[in-house]
Amino acid sequence: MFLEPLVTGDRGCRHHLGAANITDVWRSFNKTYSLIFAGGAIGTVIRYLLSGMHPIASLPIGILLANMIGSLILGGVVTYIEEFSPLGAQRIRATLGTGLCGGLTTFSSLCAGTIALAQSHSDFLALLYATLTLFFGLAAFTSSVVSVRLISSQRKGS
Amino acid sequence: MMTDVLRAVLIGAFGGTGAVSRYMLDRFVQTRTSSYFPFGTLTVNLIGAAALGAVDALGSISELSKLIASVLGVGFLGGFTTFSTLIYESFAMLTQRGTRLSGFANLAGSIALGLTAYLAVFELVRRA
Repeated sequence: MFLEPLVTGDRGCRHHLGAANITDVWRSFNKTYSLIFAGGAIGTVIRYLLSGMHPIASLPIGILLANMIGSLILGGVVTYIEEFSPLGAQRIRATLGTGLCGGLTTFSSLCAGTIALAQSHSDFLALLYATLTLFFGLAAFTSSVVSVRLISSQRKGS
Repeated sequence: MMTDVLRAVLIGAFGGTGAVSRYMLDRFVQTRTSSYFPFGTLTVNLIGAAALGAVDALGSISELSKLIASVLGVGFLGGFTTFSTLIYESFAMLTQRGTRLSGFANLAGSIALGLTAYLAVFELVRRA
């Protein structure tokens, strides 16, 4: 992205600027990181916006939603790649899986929110929040895995 | 208004950086522990939870540290740690015969250790 191996010369012909091979390696190496960065940044901003939601029954519902939606999307992405093995699977995984879903979901805020509930309200509410997050996360992930597998088996059957 | 947009952009940039850091550390750990157990994600999440304990404890000191705390806590550490991968890897173990117990241990253990790490560092930094 930053190091173009080809430059246009003064008479309009293209010259190689030396070690194009090394630049190519650098570029492909960099591409994965760029995709993860972009997906991660978008996911993080969406989570930040969701975290502004008003708590329901003192539970941080915005973070719970972010973790649930992220699990739902990741289940769909990994199963789609598994079932359909599309072109550019690695780039899809880096952008949407490692990047977007990783940025959208959070483990650190889940821990912080649980401790905050235990300190300000009750251990019961803290336990309820952690359990609900795990339950909804697993349920969301499972439902998208099952849905994509169903679509895949129908496509293959017809 | 401007500061709201600036804050969101900063949080996004730090979130992206956190995601790339997670990928690098996860790969580093997972390639060195030749096991089906996802030690990479566990390492990332425990370090992230412990670090958020420190950031949250420091965040109560001043207004400036509040902004820095939200950029580091919501942005970097939020992007660094992951819940979706924890669910994905646990799901894979839970649905496979022979690794069901590990899948359950991964879920319960991650949460228990994460809470302990967060609380321990939070109290340690607050008292320091």
